[in-house]
Amino acid sequence: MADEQVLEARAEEAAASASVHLDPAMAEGNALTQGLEPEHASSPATMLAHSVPDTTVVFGRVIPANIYVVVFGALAILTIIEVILAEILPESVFFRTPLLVVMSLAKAVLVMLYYMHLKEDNKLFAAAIILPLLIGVVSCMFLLAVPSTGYGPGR
Amino acid sequence: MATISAPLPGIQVSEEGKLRIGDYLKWSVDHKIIGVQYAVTALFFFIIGGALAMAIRWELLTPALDVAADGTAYNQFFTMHGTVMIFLWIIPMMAGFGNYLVPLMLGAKDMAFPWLNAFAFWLIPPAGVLMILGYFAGQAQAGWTAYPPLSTMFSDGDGQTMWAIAIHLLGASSILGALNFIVTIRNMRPEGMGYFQMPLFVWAMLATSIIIVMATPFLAGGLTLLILDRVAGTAFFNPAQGGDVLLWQNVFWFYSHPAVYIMVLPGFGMLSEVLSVHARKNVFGYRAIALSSMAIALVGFTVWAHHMFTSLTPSLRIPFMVTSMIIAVPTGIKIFSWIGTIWGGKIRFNSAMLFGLGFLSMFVIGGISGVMLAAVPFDLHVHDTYFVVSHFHFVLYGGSVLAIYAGIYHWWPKVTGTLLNESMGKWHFWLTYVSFFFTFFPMHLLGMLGMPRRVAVYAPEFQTLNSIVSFASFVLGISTFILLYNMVYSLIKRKQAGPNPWRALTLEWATSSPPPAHNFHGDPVPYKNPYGYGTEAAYRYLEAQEAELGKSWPNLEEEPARALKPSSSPAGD
Amino acid sequence: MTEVSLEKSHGHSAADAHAKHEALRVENFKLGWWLYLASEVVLFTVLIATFVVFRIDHPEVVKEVHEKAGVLLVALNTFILLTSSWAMVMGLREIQRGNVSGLVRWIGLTAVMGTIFLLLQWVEYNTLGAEGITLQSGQFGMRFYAPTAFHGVHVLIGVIWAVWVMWRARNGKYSSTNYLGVEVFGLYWHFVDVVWIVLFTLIYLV
Repeated sequence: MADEQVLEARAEEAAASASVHLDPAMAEGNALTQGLEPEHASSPATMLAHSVPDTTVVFGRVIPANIYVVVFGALAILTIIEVILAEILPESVFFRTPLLVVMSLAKAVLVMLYYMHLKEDNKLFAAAIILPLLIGVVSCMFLLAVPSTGYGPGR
Repeated sequence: MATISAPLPGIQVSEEGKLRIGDYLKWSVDHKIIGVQYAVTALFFFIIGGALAMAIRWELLTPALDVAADGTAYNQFFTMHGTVMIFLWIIPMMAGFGNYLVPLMLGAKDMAFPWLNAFAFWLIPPAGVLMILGYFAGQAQAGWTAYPPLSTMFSDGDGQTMWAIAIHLLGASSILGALNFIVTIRNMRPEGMGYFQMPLFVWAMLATSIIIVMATPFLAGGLTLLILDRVAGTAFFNPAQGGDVLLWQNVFWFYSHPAVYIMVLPGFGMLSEVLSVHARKNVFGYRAIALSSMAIALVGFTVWAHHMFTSLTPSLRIPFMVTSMIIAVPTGIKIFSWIGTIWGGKIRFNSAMLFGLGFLSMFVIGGISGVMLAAVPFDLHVHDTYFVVSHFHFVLYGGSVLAIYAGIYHWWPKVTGTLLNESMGKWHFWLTYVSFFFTFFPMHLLGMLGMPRRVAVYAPEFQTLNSIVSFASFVLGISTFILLYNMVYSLIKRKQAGPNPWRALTLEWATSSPPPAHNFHGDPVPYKNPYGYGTEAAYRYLEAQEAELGKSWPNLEEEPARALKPSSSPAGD
Repeated sequence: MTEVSLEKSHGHSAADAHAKHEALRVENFKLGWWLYLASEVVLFTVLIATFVVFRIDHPEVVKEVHEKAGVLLVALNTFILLTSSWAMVMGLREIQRGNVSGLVRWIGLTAVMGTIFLLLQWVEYNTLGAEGITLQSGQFGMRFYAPTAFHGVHVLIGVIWAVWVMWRARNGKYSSTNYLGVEVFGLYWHFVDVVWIVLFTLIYLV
């Protein structure tokens, strides 16, 4: 079963203390698919042998520190653009609302992918969060379709 | 008939597995104890809800107002009856079965989050008490659906607020329980058990839990707004101050239609177990049954507005009619699969099986009247009449409650280690089955004739049918006590059940009854097909299990044919 | 196939079993937590939907409030929350590298940012209240305060949780191999951030 395999891979990771990965050569490989050799990765000698590079390994993938800074920068810039657009675009421009919503969704996706590690983590978590979002969006759409105080003229 | 009085090796309940009443009255993280706590709490509320139902039927015996002091009192009766039965009986009872059985069926030692499990249970008693205490503050009287403005402008007492808070707590409890189930089912299956080797009850609990996690927060959101409207002076549901009265109906049915499946899907799961075990036959269409649960769970989210055909924008009626009818398809797949399962089986007509068959027959009626109601022209005609009352009682009583009864008779030996009395069980079944039919079937006719629901005083021409309904309902009420008596009787008599009295293949039977503290003696090995009855391999598996745990039937006279000639017909096992 | 055995084939060593158990615990917690967040998504959806429907039906009321209140204060607040989220993930990174004091410092920044956010929200509520927009003031007020205050409560819980994580970190409860508590708190905090990102656009900008 695929799940068991994933679990096994996780187990190996835990055994290999995958959080700090100090061997760049090993780090190139994908622990999830290739499998780590626990003795090698967890031996204290290897741990201390190299100076600490500025990366962490999460779920078998190398994450350079500056990715977090880059994402933060992107979020900040997007927010500034959003605020400016909201101020300068007149209400009448048809793409104003869709554009702003898309930008905010892009920010939300950035946070979820990089800060919440959905990019590396179990895809099931992504499914768990996308399903209610879909249900929520559909229900919102429906509420929009139903006139808020009944139907007929003068809604 | 010779009875073996000497103790057989392996059948004694080990010390740690012994039932002590005190263990059930305090905080415990053992899923088996929590399961029983859920079930007993739910049964307690079932009696309360049943008493309210009796009061309602007594009131409706005559067209005039006689039991209830006034219309408001009657409104309180049916409001509390509906709420207690749905939120404090069926849903917790299903959670109880799930708690007890899911880890056992998966061969696990406990749920994924034992502490959270206990916490979810302990939210229920305070919520139930809070709801009932509302009686002293002006009981809730807006119906279990609590439509504004009934639940806002026309409910002065604080009972309605207490009702909303109680439902909030119950919703939180069921969300916490459900995410526990999902994690348990996904991560704690034993080696050799993939998703498609899981027992169908586990599949049903998985589908139910997904619905709970995705749908219950809608209710929580709606209740938050309702409570704000009632205590903080907002006007979310008051059009006069810029609110929106339909918002509640939408949000409520976003939750409550999926909640119908929350109440009935575990029953479907139990039925699959009961039918297959007692027909000694492989489940027909395992994948179809498993996946149709998921289909019901997903399609269930797209049908809510069929509860609102009379208040809905006309252009949306047809789409919702179509989705509502689509949901009959996976349900039909299940029904026919179950018929295929019992077809040609070596059926044991014991109480569990009888209730299973009762479910199958009555649920079909409820399902078909559901399809009738999904048709817009018909629904507009019978909306808010007794036809609707009849429909959902066929689904919830004929479906969920009969399934719960089947489940009780089926798993009682596992939970307590004792056997229920079969002849009392059969009396219970026949009285329930017949009186159930005569309680709820005439309501279809009342509805077609135009009797509205939720009225204490009705037109005199409805009296004959109403009297039939009421008398049948009194019999139905009394028949419940046979079960309660049977339970107490069995606990006192302690007629011992073996580890696997039904010779079933699912893992909950692969341990002693009741199971020891950590469920299994060693790691259980699942049989490759949980319903592979009638094969020689299954027979050998059960033999090996018997050799390890002791005889399935310590009392030989219970199933003499099998006990006296164990190897004459291996195909039967 | 008639050979049936109730014995399990044991191919794993005890150390493997322990690692597997630990991995299972982590996996369980994270899946459970994501499912909880999923239910929160739906809960927030209900509250946000009430605003969005109103926004579409009565654009003029919302526009009027926007013009009165301005967007500067709340844009600043958004920055503060984004920063706190960044601090959170940096803290997680520190503990993944085994640096406990780094964790405490970054999470401390998260907690401070969260507190400032709450204070500024309080200021904003007071400003709006002075302009006559309150919970009971009708159409706009209730639909504005319900989701934002509900989010504010989440931030408050997050700040308290952050302090608790710092306290536990000081007591040496986390290490480079055991940081589940930090990770789960991180998921919560980022979720609160994501909700704000959406709320900010839908309520203040659009």
